[in-house]
Amino acid sequence: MNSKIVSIKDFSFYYGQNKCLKNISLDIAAREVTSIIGPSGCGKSTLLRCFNRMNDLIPNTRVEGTIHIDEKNIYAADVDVVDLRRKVGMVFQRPNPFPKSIFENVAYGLRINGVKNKEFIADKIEKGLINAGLWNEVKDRLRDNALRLSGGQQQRLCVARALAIEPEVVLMDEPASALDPIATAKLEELIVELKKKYTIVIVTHNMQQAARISDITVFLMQGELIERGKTSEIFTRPSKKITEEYITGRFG
Amino acid sequence: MNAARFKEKFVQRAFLFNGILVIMILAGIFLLLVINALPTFKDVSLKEFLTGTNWNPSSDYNPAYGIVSMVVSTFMVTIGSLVIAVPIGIGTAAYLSDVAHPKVREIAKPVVEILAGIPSVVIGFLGIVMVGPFIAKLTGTYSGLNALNGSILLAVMALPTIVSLSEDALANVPKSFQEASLALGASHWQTLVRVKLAAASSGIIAACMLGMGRAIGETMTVLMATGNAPAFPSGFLNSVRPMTSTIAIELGEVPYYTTHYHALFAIGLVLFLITFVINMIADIVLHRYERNFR
Ligand SMILES: Nc1ncnc2c1ncn2[C@@H]1O[C@H](COP(=O)(O)OP(=O)(O)OP(=O)(O)O)[C@@H](O)[C@H]1O
Ligand SMILES: [Mg+2]
Repeated sequence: MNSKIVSIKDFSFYYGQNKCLKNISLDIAAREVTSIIGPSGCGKSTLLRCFNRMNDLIPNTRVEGTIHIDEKNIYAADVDVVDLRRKVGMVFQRPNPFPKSIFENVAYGLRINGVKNKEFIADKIEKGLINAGLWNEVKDRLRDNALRLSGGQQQRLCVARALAIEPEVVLMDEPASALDPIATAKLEELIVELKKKYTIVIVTHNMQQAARISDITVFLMQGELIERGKTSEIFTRPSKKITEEYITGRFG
Repeated sequence: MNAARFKEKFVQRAFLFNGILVIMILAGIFLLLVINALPTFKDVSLKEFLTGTNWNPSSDYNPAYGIVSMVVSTFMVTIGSLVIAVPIGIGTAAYLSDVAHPKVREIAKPVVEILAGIPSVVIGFLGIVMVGPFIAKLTGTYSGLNALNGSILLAVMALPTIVSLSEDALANVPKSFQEASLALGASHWQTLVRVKLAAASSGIIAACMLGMGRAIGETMTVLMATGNAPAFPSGFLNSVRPMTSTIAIELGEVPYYTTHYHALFAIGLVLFLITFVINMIADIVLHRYERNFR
């Protein structure tokens, strides 16, 4: 196994009084794809959104335990969330490009970091779009409004946007749920390609997808981590009966 | 024909009738303006009317009918009010939608909206007894009834519209844009300026245009607060007399069907055309924006 980049220890998360992540401990290795699976409402999105502290935006929430990324506790008092989010990028369930041009969407992360050099930006955008497998489709219309792209193209644009600032970890919350099979296949290819450079954590409801693209699979249920293991093992001989029942579709 | 179908037809007809009635009334007003304005130009050339700076219609031996001074006054007061109201209004809207505690917003927004209902004569009154003396003291001028005073008061009147509609526009920006921006490591401030304000800009522009519409046609306040000097203004500390004031003051006393009488209608027509053009431009801007970004 490679070096671990994320290390979660005895971590709990509360919405008000409702404890919806229960004492989770989990390590995530660098340059691997980790998928989080589990029945609806078990806390997958909540867990993912703790990695870049997006849950801070929701009032009346509280955490216990620690999450270390690059050896630093991201919930420590002195942590700058802005820096954290630059290091931990996110792709959302629904494609959410800004109502700006394709170019400006990818440039956004650079611009807010104060990058002014035009050639540098243009170069980064080309690389980002190539990385996201979108360059050939949009290179002649970079100035078009991003909202005119198809759903799948929009989602890959969101990937390019997240990659443009070169995060270390990329979080994806059911990134293919709004896409058709062809767009999904392209996105999956992309994810496998991306793991050469990035650490990827993906939430998915699609068992085949988890099996196809991930190295490690984590199974959550009712806020508890039931099992974590090599994807090949989880899907062939899970150590817990309940995992097997979920994977084979007997519930959930 | 059964009862339900009859009712349907009846309602349809009633709406059609209403629509036609409104259009006819509007067309009638416009026609009335044009018909009453036209006789002006038997005595005064259109060129003199539109380019002359001297307005002195009641002079017996040498009456003058140039409207430039009052048009400039109108624009000065209006633009002045926008310069004051737009930044404050957008700032307040941004504060209410992004910074303020939800409870503060719940109370503050209706209060701001109620401000829109203050009668213009009350605002004018405040202009005379409060803003005027204050300006006079600050600048050492004599009365403080001038273009600046009018601008401040019109800004106060336009603010509720601008704040309320801009806040709506900001609140309607999808949360997903905000999340995307924050997840890219943008600060709240960057997200507000680069994403939320940008995405809400069409609504904000519309809000400012509506505020401007209110300011440009406002009569009572400017009548009371701007000092009524029908001369060409040379600065914001000059007393001025915008188009609306001129009509309001003079129409009550002018003998009917004289050139002076018709000239006042011509001023009204010009004012109407100016508002019309502003609204058209606003519409075109909005449409262009929406074509690109919706
Ligand atoms: N903003 C919120 N406020 C209060 N409770 C919430 C909030 N968001 C989620 N929850 C609760 O937390 C639990 C976990 O939600 P979460 O969205 O993490 O589930 P999930 O595993 O991602 O489900 P799905 O597969 O349907 O997306 C649920 O019981 C949900 O009702
Ligand atoms: Mg979810």
